[in-house]
Amino acid sequence: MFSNTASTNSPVRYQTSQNYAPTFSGPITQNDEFARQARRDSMAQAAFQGDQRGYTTQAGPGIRAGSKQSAYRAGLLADSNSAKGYAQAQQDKFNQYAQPASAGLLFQERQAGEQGWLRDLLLDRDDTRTQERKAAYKRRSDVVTGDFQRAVEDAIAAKNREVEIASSIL
Amino acid sequence: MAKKANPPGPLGNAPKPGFANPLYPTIGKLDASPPQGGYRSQINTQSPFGPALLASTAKVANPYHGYGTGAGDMTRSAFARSLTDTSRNAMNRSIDKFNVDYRTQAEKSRGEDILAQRQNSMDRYRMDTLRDVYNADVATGYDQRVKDLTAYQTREFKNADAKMTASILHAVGGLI
Repeated sequence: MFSNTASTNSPVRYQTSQNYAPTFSGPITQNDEFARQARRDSMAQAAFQGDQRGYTTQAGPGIRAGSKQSAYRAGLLADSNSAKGYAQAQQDKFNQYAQPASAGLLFQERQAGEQGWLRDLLLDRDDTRTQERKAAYKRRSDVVTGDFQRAVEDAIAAKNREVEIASSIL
Repeated sequence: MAKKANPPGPLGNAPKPGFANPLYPTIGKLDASPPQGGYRSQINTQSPFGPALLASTAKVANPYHGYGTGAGDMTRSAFARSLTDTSRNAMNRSIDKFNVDYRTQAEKSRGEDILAQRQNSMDRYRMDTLRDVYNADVATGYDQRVKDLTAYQTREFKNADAKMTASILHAVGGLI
């Protein structure tokens, strides 16, 4: 079966045929994230196992050097200090996930805001075009009715002139 | 004999906004319409972390095992367990707080995004409705103006014809 630990440069080998075969995704290689995680875990584990020596006191000469009590105290002190580092490592690991998530949300917010500005710009453009078309409609109405009014005035004046002339003849 | 025109009755109450009235046909739509596909926001309000990631982040292995049976080994193991438990609880609390803050902010931003889209739709509805109203006003004014001028022309022609008829009658009367 495939290995669960993606920390090898070896090509994947099929279990059934025992032949090397290429994978579709290529060999899984060590990357920065895997390297950081492995180093962080191993350092934290090693700290728990090894820090005790640093806190072990040397009391008494020869075979009486140290005691069970001093070893116990040194162990507790080492565990306490190592736990602080382990917790910090966990927090750092979480921060590595949290920061891109926060940045992603901020990006979504800004992109949504940008699309809002674009919508407003399009509305402004359409509003300007609407005002221009409205004015053109009104202008044509004024021109047509103005022409018609002048034609009516002319027709009435001509009619009156005809009546005046005919009345004078009579 | 000529009759005087009767004045129209009172105009009556104004139509109520938002309701159809056959005496006053509604121009345009009654309300703003959402964009095609409805109001949608790209802001995701889901937690950015899956349960597997959270479990792996909060997982704290117990690094010390005292294999002895003495009191020192057992108490040191208990002490180490208490440290890891505390650390795991602190991580869970931290992750929960982050998730709550994240989703609160995302919900707020999503609400603002949708509100901005609704505001835009309302502004567009106002623009379209006022345009339709203006155009209807212009068309109505145009029709009324044409009717006025047509009636004026007809009236003046009839007056001129009457004046002509009067002149003819006057001339005929003089001959008699």
